[in-house]
Amino acid sequence: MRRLIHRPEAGGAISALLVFAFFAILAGHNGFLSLLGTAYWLDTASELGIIAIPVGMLMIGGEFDLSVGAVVGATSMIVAICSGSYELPGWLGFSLAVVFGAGVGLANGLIVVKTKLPSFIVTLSTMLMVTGSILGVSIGLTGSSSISAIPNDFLGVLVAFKWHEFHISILYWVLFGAAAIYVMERTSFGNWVYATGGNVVTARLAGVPTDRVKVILFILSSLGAVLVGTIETYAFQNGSITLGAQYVFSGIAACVIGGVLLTGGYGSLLGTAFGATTYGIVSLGVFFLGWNADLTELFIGALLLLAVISNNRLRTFALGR
Amino acid sequence: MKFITKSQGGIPLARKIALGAASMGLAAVMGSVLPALADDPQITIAFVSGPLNDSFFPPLYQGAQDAAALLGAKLNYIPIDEADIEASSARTMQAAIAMKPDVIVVGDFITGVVDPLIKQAVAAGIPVFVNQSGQDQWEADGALGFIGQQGPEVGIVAAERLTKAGSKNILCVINVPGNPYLQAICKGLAEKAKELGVTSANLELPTADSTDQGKVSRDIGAYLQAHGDVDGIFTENAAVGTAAVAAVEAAQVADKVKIGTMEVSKVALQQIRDGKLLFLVNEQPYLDGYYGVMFAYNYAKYGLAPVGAVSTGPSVVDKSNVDKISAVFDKYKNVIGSN
Amino acid sequence: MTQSETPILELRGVTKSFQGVTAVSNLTLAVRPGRVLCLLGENGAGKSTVIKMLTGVERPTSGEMRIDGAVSTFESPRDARDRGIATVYQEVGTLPLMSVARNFVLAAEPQKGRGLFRRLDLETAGRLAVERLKELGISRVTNGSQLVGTMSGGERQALAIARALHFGARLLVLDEPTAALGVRESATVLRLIERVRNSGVAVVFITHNAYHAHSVGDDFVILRRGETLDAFHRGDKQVGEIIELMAGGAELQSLLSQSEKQAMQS
Ligand SMILES: Nc1ncnc2c1ncn2[C@@H]1O[C@H](COP(=O)(O)OP(=O)(O)OP(=O)(O)O)[C@@H](O)[C@H]1O
Ligand SMILES: [Mg+2]
Repeated sequence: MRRLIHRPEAGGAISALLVFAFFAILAGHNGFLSLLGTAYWLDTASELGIIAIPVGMLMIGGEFDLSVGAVVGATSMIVAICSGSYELPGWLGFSLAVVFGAGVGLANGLIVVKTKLPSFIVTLSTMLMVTGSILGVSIGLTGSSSISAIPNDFLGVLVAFKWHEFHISILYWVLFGAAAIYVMERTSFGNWVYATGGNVVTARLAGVPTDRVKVILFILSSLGAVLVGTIETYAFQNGSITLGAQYVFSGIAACVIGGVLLTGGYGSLLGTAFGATTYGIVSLGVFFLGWNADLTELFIGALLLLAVISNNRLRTFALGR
Repeated sequence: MKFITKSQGGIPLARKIALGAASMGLAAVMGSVLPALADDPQITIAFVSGPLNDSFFPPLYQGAQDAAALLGAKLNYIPIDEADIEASSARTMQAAIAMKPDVIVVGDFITGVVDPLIKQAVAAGIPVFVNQSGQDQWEADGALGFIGQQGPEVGIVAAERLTKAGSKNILCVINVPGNPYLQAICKGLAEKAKELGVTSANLELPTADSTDQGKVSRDIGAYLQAHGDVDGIFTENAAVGTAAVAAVEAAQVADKVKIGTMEVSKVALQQIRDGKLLFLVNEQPYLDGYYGVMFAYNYAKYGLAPVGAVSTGPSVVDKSNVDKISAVFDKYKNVIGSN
Repeated sequence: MTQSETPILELRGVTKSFQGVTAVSNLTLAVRPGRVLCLLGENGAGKSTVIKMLTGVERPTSGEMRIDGAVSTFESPRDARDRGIATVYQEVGTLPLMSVARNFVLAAEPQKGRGLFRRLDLETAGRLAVERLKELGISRVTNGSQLVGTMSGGERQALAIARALHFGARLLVLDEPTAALGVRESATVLRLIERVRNSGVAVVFITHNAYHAHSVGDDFVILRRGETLDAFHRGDKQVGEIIELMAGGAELQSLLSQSEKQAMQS
């Protein structure tokens, strides 16, 4: 039991369970426990969860990415301009977005490792540049910053499929989540990520290619945003530059609630999944209760604070002093 | 602050700065210079209004441009930065005054900031027309006219339409919490609903959700699960309207719950045709821009102006006129709506 | 004193200067397998500069460097590492929030499985780590999944050393390994150094502490402002003499109390 509580994902699991129990008891009769209610929070958790997987890896690797939200919005515009304004096949727009996202991630990574500036400020800059440039291109090409995206090929099915209200994003969340947990816990690369975040000097002296690790993590982080941007754009067939803005904060929040240390080097992607689940439950639960929606932010804010405090304590416990 | 309510509000601060900066640059390039008529000096009009990254404004800008081209007036469109709306409202208006144009047309979104500057412009001998927002202040400020619509009017129309379609419990969705213009609309709706003998409630969405249609849809869906008596929904922007339609479909209550929305979009027009959306309130932003420039021009040149406020809305699109509007929407870019 | 084996590393009349500042001048030393070379000196004496030359970070400005008897220099720190020269850093030697096994194999992880199922062999890593630690006399660590942060400072140094040896180090450079440690922890590290030496590995031991040097050193070089103040071998000098040499004799004598002098003589 003591061992279990010392796992980095323990805090996330406990908070997910607590908020689930809370809303199940208070809002169960309002439909929170129904199939539809479950689909609602799972869909929300899965979209955030997909973002949070690579964001969590990056945080464990010791860096932040504030540009994910901007990349979601940029992806949305790219996909929409291609399929909506130019009637190009969906896969082409998606491929373009992947190239764009990978480019942003590469730029983030290279700037961070070459300049040694904090990633916080570097990705803040790229966030602004991404939004500004895509907006300029979009207004230049279409005169608008919000464009219909019409699914016209298999991509529509691949990203917009749903069963009842259970969106296919849940499947991607589970698949990519499992793959990422495997990479982090059972491959050399995962070991290098933990080491790089733990102490970049130590890792480098030991022979870990820390720069390459960081660049790869930044690219993955952008690619997660590209996937979610595409999913969300096709779900409503509407491209918008502001799509995904909330992920800058909720992505990091999910990771921290899930037990990832803000200083890097410690955490778990399973915990991150619990963090996203917590967020999904709380952010919909308040509507089932008919409460003021601002309470979501109050809830998440409080959970976040608790998480940061308990993460630090867990860390001290884990170190046995 | 009307225009933050358009399209998707609640953009995090830093991103808004980027949006504002980018659109400012573009707008500066777009300020068109056209040849003056024969011997008369060219009339210059400074037009202070919202940025083009807000999907509500491209039609307004288009209307202003079209009128200026037609009349041979010089148009300086000065976009307010939504990220920093108070300070930017002041800066843009100060810039307009400094340009010494023949007339200023201004969107009075932040009345506390803009009103004194309107008075200042008038005192400096520059005639001012208030555009789009500011319906309660323009006369006191000494402006010569107002082109736009009254917030509560929109709510009244919405309540009437929904009640006529049989709604007894109306939900008014506010997608930017604390926004006075959106609240005024829902207040107008609530008062009219009461008068008509039906109940209404407001649902405020958290700022973080406002950019995510999927989440907005689930939020509304969850509320509907918990409040099974809701049978009418009014939303205040196109994306939220689409989200509400999806929510109602997911909950399989589409035949019971009627939906109306503000702001024209391609999707919304299609949904009206499909019967998924009962109606939408068209604020006709193109006319705000067009008449704004036209009235300004006529006043500067001939000293003529309409008497009293000119209302460009609420105009309603429903099944009866959707085909015509759709045809125009498809044929002319940025006249009916921008997406 | 046996001089039979070829030194792994040798410096002959080496000088290193940085833009006019001479950090080390005319230094001669040899590091042999199975021997501990102690490099002593106060702050700014040039100890770190010597280490940098021995580990390929810097190259001598003048003088001769021999590797395994042949005149040569290292291309890079990597080159030095590939040729069996390992540096163990006290501060950054291990990662406290990772397990013993993961630390031990970092950047050279054993794998199992094939193709897509190729994965970390943490069992092997843990087993190796525990075994190697035991060889160095650390028996309290029995589980590879223990977090390194829960280990004592001495045990952590042991882990870093075990790791270096496991990956083929023939010459270990330890920069102030006892500096931040208490008495007991220091003793652990000194025992480690002895064990490593006894296994035939060469050790360069940098320290301020004459007692620590005296207890494990075979060869000694004392530096002062870049100059070689003295070089001698085990048994040639008492601790007190070493301390005096390091601090510059007379100056120190006047500072030390009578009792301290007595303690040094004994
Ligand atoms: N890169 C450099 N550029 C210029 N001068 C240097 C450089 N590296 C070392 N020095 C100088 O060389 C001298 C010896 O420095 P070194 O770091 O080798 O001393 P040290 O014996 O390791 O001292 P400490 O016990 O404080 O670590 C010092 O005067 C130092 O300022
Ligand atoms: Mg030093």
